[in-house]
Amino acid sequence: MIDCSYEIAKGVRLNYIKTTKFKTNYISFNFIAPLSSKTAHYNAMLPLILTRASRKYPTQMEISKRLQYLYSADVGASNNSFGEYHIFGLKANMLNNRFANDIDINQETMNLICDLIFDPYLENGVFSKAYVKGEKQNLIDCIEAEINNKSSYATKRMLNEMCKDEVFNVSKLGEVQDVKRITSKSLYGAYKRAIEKYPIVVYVVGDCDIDAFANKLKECFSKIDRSPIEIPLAEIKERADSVKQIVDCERVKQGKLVLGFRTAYKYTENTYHLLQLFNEVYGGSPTSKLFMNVREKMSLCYTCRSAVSQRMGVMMVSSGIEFDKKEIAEKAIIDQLEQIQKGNISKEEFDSAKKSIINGYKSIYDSASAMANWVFYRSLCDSNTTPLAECEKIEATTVEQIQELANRITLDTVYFLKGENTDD
Amino acid sequence: MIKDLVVTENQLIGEKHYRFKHKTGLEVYVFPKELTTSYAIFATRYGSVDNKFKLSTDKEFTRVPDGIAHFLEHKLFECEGGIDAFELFAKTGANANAFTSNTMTAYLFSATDNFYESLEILLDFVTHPYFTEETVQKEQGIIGQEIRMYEDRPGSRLNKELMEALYKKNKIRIDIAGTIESIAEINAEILYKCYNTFYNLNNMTLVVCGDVDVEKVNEICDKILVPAEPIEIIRDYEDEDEPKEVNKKRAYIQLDVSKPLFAIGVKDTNIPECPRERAKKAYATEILNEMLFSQSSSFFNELYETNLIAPDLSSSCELTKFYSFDVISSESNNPELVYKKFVEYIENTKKIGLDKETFELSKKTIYASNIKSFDSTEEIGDKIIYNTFDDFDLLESSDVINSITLEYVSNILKEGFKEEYYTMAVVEPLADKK
Repeated sequence: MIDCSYEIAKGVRLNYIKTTKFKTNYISFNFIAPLSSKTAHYNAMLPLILTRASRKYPTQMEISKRLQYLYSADVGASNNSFGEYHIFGLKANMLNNRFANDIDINQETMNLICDLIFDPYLENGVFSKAYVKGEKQNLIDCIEAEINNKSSYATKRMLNEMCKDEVFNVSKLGEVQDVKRITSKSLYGAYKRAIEKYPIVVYVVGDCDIDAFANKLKECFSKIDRSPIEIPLAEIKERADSVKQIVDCERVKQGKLVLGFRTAYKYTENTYHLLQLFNEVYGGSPTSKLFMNVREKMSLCYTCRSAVSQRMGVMMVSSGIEFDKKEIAEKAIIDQLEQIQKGNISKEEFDSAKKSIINGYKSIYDSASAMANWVFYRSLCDSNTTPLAECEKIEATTVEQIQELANRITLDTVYFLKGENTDD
Repeated sequence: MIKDLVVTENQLIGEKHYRFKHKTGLEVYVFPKELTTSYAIFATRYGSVDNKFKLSTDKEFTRVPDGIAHFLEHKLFECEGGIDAFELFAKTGANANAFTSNTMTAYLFSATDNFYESLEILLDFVTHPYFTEETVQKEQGIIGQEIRMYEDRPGSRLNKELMEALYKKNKIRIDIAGTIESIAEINAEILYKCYNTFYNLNNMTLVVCGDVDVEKVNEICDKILVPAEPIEIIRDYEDEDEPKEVNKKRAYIQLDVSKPLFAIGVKDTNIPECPRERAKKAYATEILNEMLFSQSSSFFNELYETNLIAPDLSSSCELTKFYSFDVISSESNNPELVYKKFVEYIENTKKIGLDKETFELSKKTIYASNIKSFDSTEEIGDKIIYNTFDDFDLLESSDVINSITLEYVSNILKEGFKEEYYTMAVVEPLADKK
């Protein structure tokens, strides 16, 4: 999918996906760090402080006015975790030059991104005290607000319990007590570490003068002494030892049930398509076993879906139910997995799941960010496959392969968030 | 061949669409777009506000339980023989869904292959209702859990509180899904009554966007659809004495959130009759929002620098023929102080007047956002259907935006932003957890 690729500096790559079908261009600038409780809070802070101000645009207002001037260019912070990786940086989306007759939107937006990353606003050689204080508070608010969405909160709590001793347990936002200890100086140290030591990958999707951007980036990096680190790979637990049962009480109207499974899937084997196809049959669509049985036949819930992770091989099933339906829902969810383990997948179910996955893969070509994310996250799993190539693999998959995969799945943790003052 | 095919083109955006009235009474839009994914949305002018209605030939109005449009949306997926419409779409690989709003129920799918087969399924299942008392009961359990899910969502609760604070009568107050009690009153007979009234093709629109042939779409309509009797639906919105002022000045509720969420609402009862004027006012209000409340505004920056609001202050304007209001929302430890600052800021801005340069930048922003929205078939399809239900053609949007002047925007500020039109809803953390 990549049309050209540039080595900008040591451990810095620029990849370009050329397409003329969009009215916009897309850029993502990604630092790749190890996910670690020692650095997560710093790495979460960096995109926030870098988009807050630069030397040239020393206030939020000046940055925002510049963005308006660039025809409402969208430049924002990004922060994600992916297995043992902590990926953070900036992304941008801007109107193609052909809709503006007064300025070069692409070039000017790229310049702005470089300003924000390489020429930050400093006071006495470190980040501004006032901005660091403000962004610390924003990050703390963001961490504390995780309780607001009870479904995602339940998912996070389940993962915390399931992966207690694993790196995946580290939050990409960091922890409140660690954020509180950040200073302007220590954050600047984290900035230097990021820009000198973390591997960096930049994606551009659209239609623009990529050579000009490559040269601009080379110039920016020429002032930096790069010595990129190797990121240690995490061990992935293939099987659960025994089933952990966790119950939390909060003031909720509906119970949130989340089951965490180990799938024994290894990304190094390039079999993510099998895991996705299994997931589609099990609980990934409105014709999946979970939807058709736990929701439609048993009328237990409105949502009951499964999701798998590309890197960790963890599968989660989430459902919103009445407080007194926990046992019956849990059993129903496991029953449906056992159906797949026995190979009870009809030809229709299987064909439907395949078509649905293929539909999803093909539609990746319709979104600039989806294309960039596909290439990026696959490359982190040592794969350079394309959506179309994966479609062929999906076509060739047999029920036996899915059954075999299902038989390696083990239940690790059952988490239930229920209301306070309820019996049982 | 299609009779009276209307082609509308916008050269600036570089897009066009076809429109025709199918012989069955259905209005059809085809928007060609060379992307891999094609999209279709089939919708009826029927939402949660339509709970009292009659046909022009009826004597009496019929009143139905709240949440029935949404309930009907769920039930239409069930086809004769116990098959689910999702299973039919699964055979083609299309990704199907549906939603109900205040004024619309829509059924949709996106597909990278077998588009026309999926279109047949869409038109067929929506025009063939099938439900029994037993299947209605089963759905009450599922929707009951959907309602509970929304009760746990602070954003949904905040919105509901805001609507009740803004309006005394307007039926936008009614929850789209109804309540556990109201949906318990629904049975197969009432569902058929609503279906037969609102799912008349003369009350519906189909929008198709993608690499699609307009003649072929017409042929599929010929094949699947049956001509509908022309009807006139009379709705009683029961809002004649809706005051210009807000219903109440504050609405506070407590939920398990980390920090208070607030929404300041600005009520507007001065809704232009003419669709183009309505659209102009909506875009002009968006420009005004950008000027007053965006990240480049002095209001945002002052509150943000003092950590009085979260970085994501948002402002949005909803303007349709049924209701119109502007909302400014974020999180804050002191919503009352934000409200006070809001009132002062508006009064001060009125006094000194809006700045010409800021206006030009904000207009540019709205102009660009509009063009950006033409990159996805789903987004285009949804926008066309919303606009056409408000009698406006999406492809006129860039011309309408261009026609907006600083004087026009200043007038919205002067006439529309007065204290009697403001209210605020707040979701607070639980008292014992603060």
